[in-house]
Amino acid sequence: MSTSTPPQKTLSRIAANRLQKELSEWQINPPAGFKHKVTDNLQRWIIEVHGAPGTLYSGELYQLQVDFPENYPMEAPQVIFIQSPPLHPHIYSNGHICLDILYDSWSPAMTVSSICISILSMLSSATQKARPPDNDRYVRNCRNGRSPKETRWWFHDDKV
Amino acid sequence: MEPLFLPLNCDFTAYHVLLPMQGKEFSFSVHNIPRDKASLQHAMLECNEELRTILRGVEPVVQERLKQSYDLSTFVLELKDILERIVRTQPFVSLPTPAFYSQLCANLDSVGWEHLIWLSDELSSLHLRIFDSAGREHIVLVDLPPGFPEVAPTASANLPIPVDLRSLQGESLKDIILQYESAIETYQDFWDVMEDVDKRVWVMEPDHPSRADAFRRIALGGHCSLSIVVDPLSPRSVPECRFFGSDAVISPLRRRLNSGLRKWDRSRPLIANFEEVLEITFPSAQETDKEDMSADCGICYAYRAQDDALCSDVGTLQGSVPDRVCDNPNCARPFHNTCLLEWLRSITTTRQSFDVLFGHCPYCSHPIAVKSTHG
Repeated sequence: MSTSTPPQKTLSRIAANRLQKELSEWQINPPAGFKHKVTDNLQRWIIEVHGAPGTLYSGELYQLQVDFPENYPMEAPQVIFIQSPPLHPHIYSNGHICLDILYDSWSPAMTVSSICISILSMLSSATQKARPPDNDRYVRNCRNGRSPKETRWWFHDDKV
Repeated sequence: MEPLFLPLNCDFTAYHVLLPMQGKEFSFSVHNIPRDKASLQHAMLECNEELRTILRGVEPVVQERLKQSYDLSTFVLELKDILERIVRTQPFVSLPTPAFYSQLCANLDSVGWEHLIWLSDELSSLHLRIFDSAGREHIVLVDLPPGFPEVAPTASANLPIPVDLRSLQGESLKDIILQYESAIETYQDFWDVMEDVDKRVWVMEPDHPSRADAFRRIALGGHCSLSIVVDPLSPRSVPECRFFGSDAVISPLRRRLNSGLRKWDRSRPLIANFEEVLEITFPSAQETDKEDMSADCGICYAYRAQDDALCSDVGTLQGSVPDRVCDNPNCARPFHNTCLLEWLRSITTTRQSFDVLFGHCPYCSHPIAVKSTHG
């Protein structure tokens, strides 16, 4: 399902150093419901998400793919669901996620861990399992492997 | 300098040549030069031991060039070219005069061989060890010029103020040791004071203070720090002070320092004086939770800036420390100037007025400003 190509440029020294520290912090204190799949690739993290108990996604398992740009953390990582993305009004069937902190509201104060918590909270607050209303049109426009970071997002609904 | 050609006979069929090059003069002679024909086909080169050693291995090339040259000056130019190429890869090593060795031994005899802890292979530099009255070890680095003992050696050591060697008397190494010993004794009080500081408080900078460092950056807690520069000659007087951190925390400290200087008592340790004047207690490194005190930059998570340009210059330049702090006292996150600047430049909501960028703290959104040029 993964369509987007990872960023081509290798991590800068600053980015690699910061990611090392985020990774060791994650290993000591991982966010509840998430599991980092160990690889030797610091630039692409694959993370397992367990749907929180008592929510629509309870007992379900999803996978996130996090790709870091060369100048991380000045720029947000690209975060998408791979394989079968959860049915959610803010998650497109190609795995793209409509979440402001991944785009315009990114700040270097955030971490992979805080992104994961935001995504889980977004999943947990859903009241119905459905695709976004414009899913088909959006996914068609992304067929050439466009990154969600190139999308102009409208964050119209912050209730879900 | 031009080569000199000296005819060795009245027929001008043999010459002695003096070829100056890189402060040396090579001499050799060429025989069997025909008077009529413009060719050195049958000429013979005769050189001394020194030149022969240098040309070892390239004799066929020299022979070839000699045969192909049509007169002597052409050949001399060719030879010079060959020599220059050899010298570029293996510079001449000139051995010191016998006096050098005997004087070095005599000097070390009078200094005492127990002071010598290292000597370079070519005998051009050595390390002498001195213990001061408090038992601290000091190393004096001495460079012996090739002209030693006529040319005086130079020396250096890890001292807050470099020793300006007086003209050396008698056995120069002995005199160097005496001069350094007396210099080292004048800094005893300075080192006592600095060692006390290093023991009592959390020194953030330098990472491993050396005997020469009169500068310390001391953690105050809450992402604030005090940097001091102690006068090595008057270590117990008020040092040069500079506070780093959010204004809310450091403004009262600065005020208390300015108004409380009369409480400074030179008989007390430096840290005790600061605690009295600033009305604070310094957090100590042992009992402080590093996480709580985190001085790392909130953007790159490093303490020393990892600027690629800086780090390529291995070890000599250390990256800057995070000294730009969010003014919101509840946040007070420290940042590297460079990191904050890069972040503010990368977002569109930042405003710029002259060389100052105005934006918001990435953590608490409190307004934060940063100069786009250093200094």
